[in-house]
Amino acid sequence: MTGWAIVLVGTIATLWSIGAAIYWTVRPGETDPSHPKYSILRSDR
Amino acid sequence: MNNVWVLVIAAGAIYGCFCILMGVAPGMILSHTPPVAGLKPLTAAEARGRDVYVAEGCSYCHTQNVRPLVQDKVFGRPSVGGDYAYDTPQLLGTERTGPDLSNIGARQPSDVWQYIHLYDPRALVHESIMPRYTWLFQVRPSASAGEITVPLPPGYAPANGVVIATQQAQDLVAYLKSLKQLPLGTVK
Amino acid sequence: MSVSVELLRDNVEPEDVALFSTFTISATAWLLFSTAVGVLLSFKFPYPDWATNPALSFGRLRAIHTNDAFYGWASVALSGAALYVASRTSGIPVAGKRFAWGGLALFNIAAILGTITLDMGINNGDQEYREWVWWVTAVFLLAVIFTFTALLTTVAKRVEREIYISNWYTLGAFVFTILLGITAYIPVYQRGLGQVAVQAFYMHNAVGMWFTFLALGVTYYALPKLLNRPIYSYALGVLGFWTNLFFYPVIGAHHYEFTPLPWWFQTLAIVFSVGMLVPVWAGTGNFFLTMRWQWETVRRSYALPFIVVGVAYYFLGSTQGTVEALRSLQTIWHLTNYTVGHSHATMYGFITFIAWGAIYALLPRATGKRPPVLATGLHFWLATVGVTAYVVFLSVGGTEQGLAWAAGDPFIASVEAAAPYWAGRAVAGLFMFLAHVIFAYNVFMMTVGPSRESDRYERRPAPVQST
Repeated sequence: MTGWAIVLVGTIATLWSIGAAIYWTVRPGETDPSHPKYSILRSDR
Repeated sequence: MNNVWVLVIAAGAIYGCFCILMGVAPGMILSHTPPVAGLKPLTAAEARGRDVYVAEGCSYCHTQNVRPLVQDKVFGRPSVGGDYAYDTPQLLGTERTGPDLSNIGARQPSDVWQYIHLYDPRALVHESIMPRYTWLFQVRPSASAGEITVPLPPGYAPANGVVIATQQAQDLVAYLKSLKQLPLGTVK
Repeated sequence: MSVSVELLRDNVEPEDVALFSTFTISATAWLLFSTAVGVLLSFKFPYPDWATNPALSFGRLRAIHTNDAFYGWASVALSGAALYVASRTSGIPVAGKRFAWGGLALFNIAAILGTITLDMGINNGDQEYREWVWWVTAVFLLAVIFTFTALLTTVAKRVEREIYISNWYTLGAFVFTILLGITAYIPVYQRGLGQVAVQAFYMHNAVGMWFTFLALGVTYYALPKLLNRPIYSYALGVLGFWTNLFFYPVIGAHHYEFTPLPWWFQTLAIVFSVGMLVPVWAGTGNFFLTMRWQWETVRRSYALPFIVVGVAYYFLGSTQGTVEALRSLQTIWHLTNYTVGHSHATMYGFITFIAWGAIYALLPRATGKRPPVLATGLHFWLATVGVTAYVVFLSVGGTEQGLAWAAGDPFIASVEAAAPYWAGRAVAGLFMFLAHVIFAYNVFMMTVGPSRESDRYERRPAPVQST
């Protein structure tokens, strides 16, 4: 019974992460110039 | 994330739980697997032989795990947890470059065969790529009383003298001969 | 301004240059040693009577090859790069330098002691990737703790508000490895079948929670810097971090297939083996989307081709791992040399190529000395052709082994079937070793070697103010 529950939670986590991965691949967003992804490109970083 | 301590402690706590759930807990439960009926711990000589087996890394090429598959039938019956009750360190292995040895004591019970094979595997199996374990033997002009000489076929024996099995070789062969699967019968 | 970003030199204090250089030189020495041993081992397959001697025997050298490649080469190379990345992304010099130097010394002491003891036949019961006896591993873990202290202090003292994603991965790698190392060496729950369970967990995690995290961490910095373009999606990197952490430790159970474990435990492993495709595919997708339409820059770069191959092998090797976990395929491939091919696709094609990419990307920025173009190209092609041939030979040879067993032939038929592929593997291994000799020359040229003026990077003026 507990086993079933754990497998269920695992399956939900997997499905959720697949959805999240697709979402951020399609819409990376992150356009704010102060976002760390831009700041590391400065010449002093 | 802008707090390094939160990051490190959270990640560490999560992984620590996994170490306990997926490593320690299964280890703890399975460490108490009862031996199969009739299984005995190794004798002193067999245990020393096992140490030689471990030191020379035999388990990198020889498994001790018969799978419940048709192709493994030749090696014996499928292994069960209780076969390994006295098996620490475990020597199941991940590569089968040479044959499985779970039941080698029953499949090849001859001392002489084992000694020749350890001294030069190609003296018995021409295509074998197993290393020669010559350092487990001594070559001397003649054998003293009580020593074990290895009767090598012509062409494989040293030009002069006789090949004598050292204590290490004797222990290793004792260990190999101890590797016999017990019948499971009705009681498990 | 049409100057490529690779032509600029970072403003780094001399001791940090020395630190990064010494980590790299030390790692390179272990790469040469461990792969020389690997080549020797590979020639023992076609010539089993060659070098019959206990100190040069297959059973002892095999563990020396794997442990020194893991803990002497890849660990040290990626730790050095991780410290450099932490210092750059934090906007400060490496903090706790004494710990960093101490860590490097301890890494080397552990590898030397480990090599000597293993060659004497003293080992931790042939448990793969933890063959070092406990007191050697204790030295190694101390090295990990020391290096972690320097890394953590650097990130803690950063001038940036946010912790850049690279440091999540590298800090995580150190924390996980310390916990895993302790878990692996406590004997009370490791008797008989219990040790099988711990070994499966350990083997899997030593690769996936240490090398994968370190390699991904440095890639998240090196790749954007080389392209002068931000990572495609930062959020995917964060998702990758958490999914790796939550999914990876569970799938070690797919090694428990032939043991009497509860059914739901194995089902969970299968669910998460599929779940692992999320961080792998999201990670590789993220890297390749960062490179999109920049293939000319990739082609002209020293370092980017290594990262491209590394990411490609991350994708191939990890996906292969998921497929291998399926029981129907395991019946043929399990216990064959196919597995050895898989470990080289991941530990070499992925981890080692990323380490090279990071070194070629970052070391010249620190020292101001570029590697010779021709030698770098030779290194790349010899290593790429070498490892690809290696993996193909062992995948085909391993399949032949598995099919010979399935056909019910006498065992020796599987040895004969694999023999030509083993010979081919030895030649592929020679290619790889030759690439390492050239890499060692390049490391020399990037660090202590004589540098011609044209090969030097221009020193950039010190930053006015970093906030």
